[in-house]
Amino acid sequence: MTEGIPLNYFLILSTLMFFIGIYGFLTRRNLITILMSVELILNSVNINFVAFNNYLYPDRLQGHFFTLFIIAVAAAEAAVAIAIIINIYRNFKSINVEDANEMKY
Amino acid sequence: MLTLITIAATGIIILYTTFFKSRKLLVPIAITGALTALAFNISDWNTNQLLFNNMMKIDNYSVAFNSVMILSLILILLLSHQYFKGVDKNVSEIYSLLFFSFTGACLLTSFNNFTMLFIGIETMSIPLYVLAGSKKFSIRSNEASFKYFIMGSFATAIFLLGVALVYGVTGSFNMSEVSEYISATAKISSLMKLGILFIVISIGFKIAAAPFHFWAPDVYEGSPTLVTTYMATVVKVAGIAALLRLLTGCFIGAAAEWQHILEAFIILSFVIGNFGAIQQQSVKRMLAYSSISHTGFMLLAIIAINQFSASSLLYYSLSYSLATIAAFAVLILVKNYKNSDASYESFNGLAKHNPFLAFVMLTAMLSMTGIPITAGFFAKYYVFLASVKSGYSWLVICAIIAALVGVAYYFRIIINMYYKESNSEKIIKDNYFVISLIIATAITLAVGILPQFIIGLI
Amino acid sequence: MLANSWLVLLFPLLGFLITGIGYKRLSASFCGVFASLMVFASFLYSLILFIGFKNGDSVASIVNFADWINSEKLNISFGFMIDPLSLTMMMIITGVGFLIHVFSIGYMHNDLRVNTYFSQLNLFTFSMLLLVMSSNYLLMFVGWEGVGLCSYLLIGFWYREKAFNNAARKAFIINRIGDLGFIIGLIAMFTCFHSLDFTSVFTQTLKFESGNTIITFITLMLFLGAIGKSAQIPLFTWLPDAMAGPTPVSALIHAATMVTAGVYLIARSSALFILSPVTMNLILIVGIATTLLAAFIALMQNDIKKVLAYSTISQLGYMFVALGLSAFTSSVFHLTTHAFFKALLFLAAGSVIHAYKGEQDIRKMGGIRKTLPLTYIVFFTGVLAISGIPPFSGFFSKDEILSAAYQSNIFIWLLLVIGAMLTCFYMFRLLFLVFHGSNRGDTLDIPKQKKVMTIPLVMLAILSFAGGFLNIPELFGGNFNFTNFLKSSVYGNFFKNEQLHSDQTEIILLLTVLSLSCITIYFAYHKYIIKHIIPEPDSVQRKLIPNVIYRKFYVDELYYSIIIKPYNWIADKMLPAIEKHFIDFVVNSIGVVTMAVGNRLRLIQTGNIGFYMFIMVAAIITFIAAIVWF
Repeated sequence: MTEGIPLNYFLILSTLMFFIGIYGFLTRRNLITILMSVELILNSVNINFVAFNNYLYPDRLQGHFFTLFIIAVAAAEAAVAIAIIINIYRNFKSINVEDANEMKY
Repeated sequence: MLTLITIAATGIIILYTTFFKSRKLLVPIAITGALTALAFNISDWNTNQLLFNNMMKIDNYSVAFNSVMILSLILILLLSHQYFKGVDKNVSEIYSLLFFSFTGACLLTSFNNFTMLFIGIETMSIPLYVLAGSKKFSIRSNEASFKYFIMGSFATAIFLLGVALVYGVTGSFNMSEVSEYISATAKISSLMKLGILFIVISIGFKIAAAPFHFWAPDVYEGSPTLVTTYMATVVKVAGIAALLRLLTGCFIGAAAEWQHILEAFIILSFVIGNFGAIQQQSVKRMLAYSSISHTGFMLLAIIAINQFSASSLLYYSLSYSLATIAAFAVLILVKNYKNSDASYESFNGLAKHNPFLAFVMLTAMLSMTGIPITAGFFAKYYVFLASVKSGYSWLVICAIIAALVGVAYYFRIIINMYYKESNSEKIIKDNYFVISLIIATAITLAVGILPQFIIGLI
Repeated sequence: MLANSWLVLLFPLLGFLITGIGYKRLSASFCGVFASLMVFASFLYSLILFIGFKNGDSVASIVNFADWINSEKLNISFGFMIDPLSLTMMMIITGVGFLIHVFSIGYMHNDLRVNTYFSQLNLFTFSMLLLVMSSNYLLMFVGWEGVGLCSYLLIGFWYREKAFNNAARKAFIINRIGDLGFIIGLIAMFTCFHSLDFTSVFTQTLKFESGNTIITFITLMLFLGAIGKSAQIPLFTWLPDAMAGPTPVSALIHAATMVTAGVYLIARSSALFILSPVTMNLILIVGIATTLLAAFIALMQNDIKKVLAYSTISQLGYMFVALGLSAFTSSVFHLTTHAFFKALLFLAAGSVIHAYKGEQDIRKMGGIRKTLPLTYIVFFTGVLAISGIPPFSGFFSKDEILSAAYQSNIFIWLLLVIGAMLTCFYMFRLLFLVFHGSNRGDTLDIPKQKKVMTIPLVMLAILSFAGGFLNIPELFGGNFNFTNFLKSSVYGNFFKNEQLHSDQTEIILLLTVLSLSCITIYFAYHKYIIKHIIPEPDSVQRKLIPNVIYRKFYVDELYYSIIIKPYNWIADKMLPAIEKHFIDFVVNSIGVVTMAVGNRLRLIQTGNIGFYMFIMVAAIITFIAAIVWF
């Protein structure tokens, strides 16, 4: 299925996704968007793992399984994140990160 | 193995005690569980088992660090009874989250595979995000929770990227296989270097090493104080133990690469930790900054990477955990009593009506500063010894200067307690609390007089 | 049995902890009894160890309890050396200590801080035992400082009196000088031998020749430590002031045990000291000078405890003379008998002071032998013992030292005999003035003496009488039991008089000393009993020589004018010049700069998470750049 596509393409894709994620992380102020950026980064890493496994070490499935772990953990993280965001909204009436800077220095 | 199961099972059992509506049972069950885990843990001494297809390795290193962490957990649980007295709802969930998080911490000391390391970090962190925000209606607690979450998930992403790179180069998640690969290849590829960099950075984030410390002061300050205690002790010890295990077990062949990273961590931690702490008005925030500086001291043991590293790190972890728990415990009492933001002034004249509390705080502060007959002195001594052996004298000199600066903010509390006047009265504390304080102080002094009991272990 | 010798230390430590922590809650009577029992338990265990030795079941050995400091070069263990010398000291400390604890129950029962008193007394016992039991110099130093601390605490026990506090401070500060010598000695020893363990150091001394410079330096420094602790010239002035503490404390710490620590140190280090003739001669000279000086001062003192204090200094001088003559066993023997009779004298004096409700001036006493018959008898025993009248214990121990002196040099012997005569005179003067004649005190209301106070007195009196029989010389058909017992612990030549001078000389010497003593006693009798002379009040103008003696040879004044005054002067000049304008300025500037940097640096923590993320990413990129670059 992947025969025609070289490994580098996958790596470039994942790198692009990674930096899009980082960009979103740094520039967006909305908590939901930030959460999406985190998911984007995680998925870019997933692509990395799967691609490495498939192209370089096709006889073992370690990379695939690691990806499954990441997906599971990301789901748990997202659940917690949503809960936290809802709570933040209740207290601050906003989900803009810059509104929450009670503690500093 | 049984340790891990006991901890996780205790967490689940506690979750179900909600049905009985019995608050009295909570702390005894939790402590019984922790003590059972401690017993199982100690019974693993000298057994050296490899579990789950070499995914986990139980050796004396992991048993020793687990014991330190379980001890900290027990002391924190003892404090919790009084701490949660005013909270009506969902207390048992906080306890079980603590235990779930602790399961991850236990994994971090005994992993033998990147998968386990990852699962350990996440199992430890995700409950913590919730715990940090467990004061649901406090704005600060919420803020702490989301700051911790955002930066924590970023660190996780960085970690995974690092693991992906290492996996791409070596084709394995197993520590010994990676280690063999590194020693077999003459020149370390730049992908590998980047992978190591990312992994070290992400663990550096978990242990609050500057410049990845930014979450620490805010999260420590905002979280409920008991959770802060847990973060400052168990989480930090687990992270630093994991780092040493990773670097010795896996990346020892690439020492030259990561030692430079750690040098930067150490120097920046000293600078940020000390200068940040020195001007604080809130003791809680001061302790947060000081914990950054302590990370620098602990990294000193790791950077040395010789036969003294593990034992000196263990000793430092123990002394640091005990002193931190004692300090936060007294802080909890003073803060609740004064109903204040725990400024230095609220410690004024503590010695007059609460000589016991003042003494506990005194011991903790002396231990953190590193004054003899408390454990902190030998902790610093052995860490310095280890790094001098590896030729890091210049770092040790920086560390000594950092320790001197530390005197300024630790002794400020002592001065306030003993030399300032105030009209405070006797602070009420329950028996669990007193037991915890006594244990922490007694071990601090005992180990400070006879360091050989700990230093000879591993 | 030996492996558990740490138990000896455990009991007083327990006593200290329990009475110390519970001082507010425990009842006074419980604390006294408990503290005494703890010391008694130690005594019993020491006794068991001793019997084991006596029967030959055990030999001198090192018991390692735990490691203490383990670094590459410096290895110190919590180890105990159990051998005849330390056993002797342990028996004295716990035995005499127990009797004094019991006496204290009666003596201190009215005091408000009696629980604190007993905890401190137990801490002292613990530290002193640690001092004599340790198997290395560093642990010994811990005990050495521990007894110094307890001495300070107990001298200033009645801390509301400013004078008592000053006395405590004086003792502490003067001891510091000695301790400094001790520390320097230890450092020199470590650089020379690479170890501080007794066994290791002593075996290595075999490689050195007599007169080696480093050894001489080490021994001189250790001797300085001993001078401070054992109140020898020039550091003796603290001991008379130390009498400010409760009388049982003076008995235990400032007569029987702590002040003999210096003697113990030198006897323990005999292997080192015999290699340095210079130090040995110095010890001899200092010992003789101290003996005579203190004895002269004691002649004119009017405070019952001060007389005994100077007498202690003088007797310690005797011990140092014996050490200087390398008659180490004789010195320890005199230490033992001295512990018995001096503790007895102090406790008896305590009874007298108790009866006089705190009056210590012998000019305001007199004739209380009828009201305190038992105290009179025991005090008399003590006086006979210290004066060296046969068959009391002091006779045997002093005779050994005199013979050793005669062997070495007749001139030394003569000086020591003069010292002995002076001792006879001032002790009998004290006896006659306090117990004979008519009562000159204001009020004398004698309560019935309690058993807890009388029984220790009687026990000590028996020991003072019979203590000498431990070591009967061959002249009287004995066989030097004590010397033979101790011999294995010390190095150097032992006191063996049969080789050098015959029995006849020995007897002639004895008779000479005895008759001279008797003549002195008669002088005292004539002056104070027949002629009823009472010492003049302070206000009287004395003639030159008596005045010099009465003013204690102006030693305190001398120290004041040559040390304290110049020191104060320099300090006064330094204060503005160096302290204010230089040190303060530098230190404060460091503080100001640090604070300012801290104030700037903490602004990085803006509280804005976007900024945090930015810095973190920037840091990661910097790290990547660094890795790619290098």
